[in-house]
Amino acid sequence: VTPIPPGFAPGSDVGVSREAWLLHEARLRGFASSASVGAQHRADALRQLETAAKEASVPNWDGEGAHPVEQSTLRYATRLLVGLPQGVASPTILVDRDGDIVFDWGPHPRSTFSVSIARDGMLAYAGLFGRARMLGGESLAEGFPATILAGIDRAG
Amino acid sequence: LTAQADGSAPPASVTRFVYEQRALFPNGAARWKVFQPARLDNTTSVFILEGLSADESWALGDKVRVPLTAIAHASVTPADIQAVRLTLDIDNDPPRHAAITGWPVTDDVEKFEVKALAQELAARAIVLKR
Repeated sequence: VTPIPPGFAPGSDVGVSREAWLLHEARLRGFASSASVGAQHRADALRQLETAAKEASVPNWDGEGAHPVEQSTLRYATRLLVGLPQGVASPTILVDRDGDIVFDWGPHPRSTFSVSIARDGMLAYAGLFGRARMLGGESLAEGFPATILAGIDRAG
Repeated sequence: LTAQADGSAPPASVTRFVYEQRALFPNGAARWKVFQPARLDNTTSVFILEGLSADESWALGDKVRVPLTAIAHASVTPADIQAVRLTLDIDNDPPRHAAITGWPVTDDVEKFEVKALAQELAARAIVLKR
């Protein structure tokens, strides 16, 4: 198990808790132990998520007043990532200035789909596909939204 | 289109500096995050590079977010900004500075509107890598 990094606050809503970290690590070990290519790709994405969350685990991590990633945000992001069906590409992972974790899919700016995951499991998504747009909000608390899969599919 | 404060013509383009590789697609194009407005003032800070050499432009970029080094810049025209119903405010504070303004003021539920506008702007941007 990767040691819980400094700045990840046990029991606090600011920073990522021991509980959220251990859950994330358990998911990662599950994928890493699988021999399938798809599982290995998902394990790589979980490691990217881990790195991104670590880098943004303290207030003002960007030097411009950014909020840190909170424990519930990492939990929901992990849930979304491991809930992706097999064969669906893993996203590029970023952290937003408000502490949201962001998953981006697609190869270029005219074929892109982006989902921001908030600490309460709310998903804000927007996609641009040629000249067509798709945007809205969903809740991960109510299960894996089909809208999100549709957006990922359109982004290719 | 927006005239400059001294009455001169608007710039041909304004430029946003990029400091992280993840803000770019693998092909080098800009992701929406390049143009995302700042939390503090809900504007996107840009610069007018007209008349600067390449070296001077990158030196300016390196001063914006010390100690970070600019790895690329993404330029859009005033017409691009107008096309997505945002506005360009040329304040020259500091010199050559301008801001893309008019972003929706959103709560957590409606932040997708900002993301969608930033995607539209990124799709129009011309990126130059260092």
